[in-house]
Amino acid sequence: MADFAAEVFQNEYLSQGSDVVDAVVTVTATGGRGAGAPTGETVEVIVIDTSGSMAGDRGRKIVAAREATKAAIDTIRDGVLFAVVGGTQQARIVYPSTVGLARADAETRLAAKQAVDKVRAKGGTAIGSWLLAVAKLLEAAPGAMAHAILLTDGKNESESDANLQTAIEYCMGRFQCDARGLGTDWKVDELRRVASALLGTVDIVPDPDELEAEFRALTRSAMGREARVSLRLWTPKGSQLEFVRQVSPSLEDLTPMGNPAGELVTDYPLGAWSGDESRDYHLRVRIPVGDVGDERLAARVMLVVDDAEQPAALVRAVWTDDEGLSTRINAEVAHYTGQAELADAIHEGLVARDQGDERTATVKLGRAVQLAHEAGNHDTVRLLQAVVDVEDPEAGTVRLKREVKDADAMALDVRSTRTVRIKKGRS
Amino acid sequence: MTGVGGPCPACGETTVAGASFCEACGAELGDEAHGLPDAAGAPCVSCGAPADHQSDGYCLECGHKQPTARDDLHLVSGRIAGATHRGRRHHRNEDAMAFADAGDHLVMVICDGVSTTDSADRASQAAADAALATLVDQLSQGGDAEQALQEATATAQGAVLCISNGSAERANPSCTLVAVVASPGDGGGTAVTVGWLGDSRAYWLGETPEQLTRDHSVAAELVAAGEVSEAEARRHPRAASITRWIGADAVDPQAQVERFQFADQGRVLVCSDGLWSYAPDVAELRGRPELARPGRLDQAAGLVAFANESGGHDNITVVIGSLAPEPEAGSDPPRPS
Repeated sequence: MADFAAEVFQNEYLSQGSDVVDAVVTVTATGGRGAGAPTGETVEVIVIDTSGSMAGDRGRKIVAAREATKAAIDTIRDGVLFAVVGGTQQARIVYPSTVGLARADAETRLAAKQAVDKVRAKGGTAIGSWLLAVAKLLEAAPGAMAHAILLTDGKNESESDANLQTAIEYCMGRFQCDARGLGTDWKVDELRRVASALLGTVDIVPDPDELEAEFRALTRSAMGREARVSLRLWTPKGSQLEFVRQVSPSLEDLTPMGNPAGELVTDYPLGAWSGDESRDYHLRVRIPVGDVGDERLAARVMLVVDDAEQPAALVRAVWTDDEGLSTRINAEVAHYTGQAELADAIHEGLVARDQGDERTATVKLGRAVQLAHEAGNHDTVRLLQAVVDVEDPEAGTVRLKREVKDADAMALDVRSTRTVRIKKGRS
Repeated sequence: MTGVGGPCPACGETTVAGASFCEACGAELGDEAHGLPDAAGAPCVSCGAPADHQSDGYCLECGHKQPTARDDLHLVSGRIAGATHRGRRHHRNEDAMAFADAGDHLVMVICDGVSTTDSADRASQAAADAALATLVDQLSQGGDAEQALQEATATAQGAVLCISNGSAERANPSCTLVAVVASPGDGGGTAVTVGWLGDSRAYWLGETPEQLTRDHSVAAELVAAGEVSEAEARRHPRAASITRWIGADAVDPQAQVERFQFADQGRVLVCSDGLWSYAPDVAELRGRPELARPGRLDQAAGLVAFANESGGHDNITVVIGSLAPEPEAGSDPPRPS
């Protein structure tokens, strides 16, 4: 199994009377088997939108969805349990035709691809029912490491939003889901809700031609996962965990996902990991104030890897009257605080732009350009440039573009939570 | 070489009081081998939660860090006694003391970790241990005290470099150093050789009390340059900043070494600024009633208490030794547990 390690970055020194402790925890997995192969079962479910709109664009969308699904099937490792679901106002199991899941081998892969070729686009869109269908399929493999790819090209209009929310909540902890929106007629917020709750990613695939590569990459990544990880946080009596969020590779608020794991201890699921990756988490704890000269533990950070607890990393609080110590800025904490502000600025700027509030949009998107430029988020700067003309990136002076492609605005929105890591090698 | 340390668990040789490593075989010593009191097994000092609710030295209910042996430590080696304390305003003790009554010589070392650097507590202990080991070794082979002090500073520097993690992102651990060798001088007097870097001090408390070191600090250098008065210098924003130290970023880690000859067998007092900042003048220090107590450990512990009562703004370390036996010979005060 891969080795997991947690490293804490913080300024542990607090001025007299201060009670807020910030820390960035880097979790790194190394030395994995590479090919995946977890100890238990692995499940891969591919869910594609087969609603009427998928027949649009002269049939290019549904053809692309079929080809992408077949590419994903070819990427599934032998022995993995899998299924294909077609989604309209209800879910239909495209493959297997028998109850439950199929075990991947040359024969089942071929049969699955033949079934996918028969998929036609007709009907509505009810994403919640698709998710529940995946959960139902997974009953055949309890405890398996399960992953789904969900593709839609439209809004969730064949069921109520409450239905979708109920389905999302039911599926939390049952499987992970990467959500992809094809074209520009889907809602970023809907798919983001699905992906965030189900510990996956969300992205736009503007052109059907790009879908096959995307599905292959998502499946390959899922096949590389070998361990399920939770972040286990101990915080002292009388303290309050203000937030715990993933900050790299993208921003995800984990605060509401905590499960109590004993007195003063809470587990936050981090999903399945490959044996070779690294992610950063920012946590903020409010603790009872100590006297100058006191030292307290603000948090113990443990990792639970496939139910086995790993040694802890410590988040400390030391009260001092030395301002030289307490006013130090921890570079990691400052960097990710900036990255969160960047995501907020983009989101608020785009909302203002949609509402016709050009003034707010200009200010917010200008600030976003400035923050992205400072932090070296070159991808984000590039995405912003599709929406604004940048006059001075350092000052954050921008003008809103008159003509903006929907796909560009959506790409900026959906990718606004992607972060860059801190630039190393500074003094 | 004598010392109160227990036998090394690896080779069985007697170890130096407070040492982290065995001088004979280099094995790492646990607190047990130091003969240090073990603070574990006590309920939380802050919330009273039971001892089994602790991990990594912290209470697992309120999170309070539990005291360590180094927070308040008293040690005796023959004619030398030392006390070190965390003080009232710092979260850990970054001062370290190491000393040995080697029969022919008294060797005393104090290092004060620079608290704005990483792992300053480990740096100061490693430096003090390394310096003491080198001094005892060199002197036992008949080496010259001045030469031994230079070599001791070099090994201390090496020991601190081992702690530096090589990361440019965090401040390199560093510390001061003051090391004293006291040997029998001409006509029953005392020969004292002092080497130092930074603002930890050595005093001669004999017939004519004298401060033996001159601080390597911004304040002291301003005064020495004749630019300002001592009072003005103390108000300088960087008055307390030291100008020489031991550590990876040390500009000049060569100790300043001075030799002294005294006609009597007075006491040598070595201390960190946690003490002398409350009695900066030698006459003031010499006049402290604590120094009139019979036992040297009482004297050292008394001065630590005085510094704490005066505010305890920094870690405090005091080591007192003399070639003369303790006034009440053979009745060393018991070591507090």
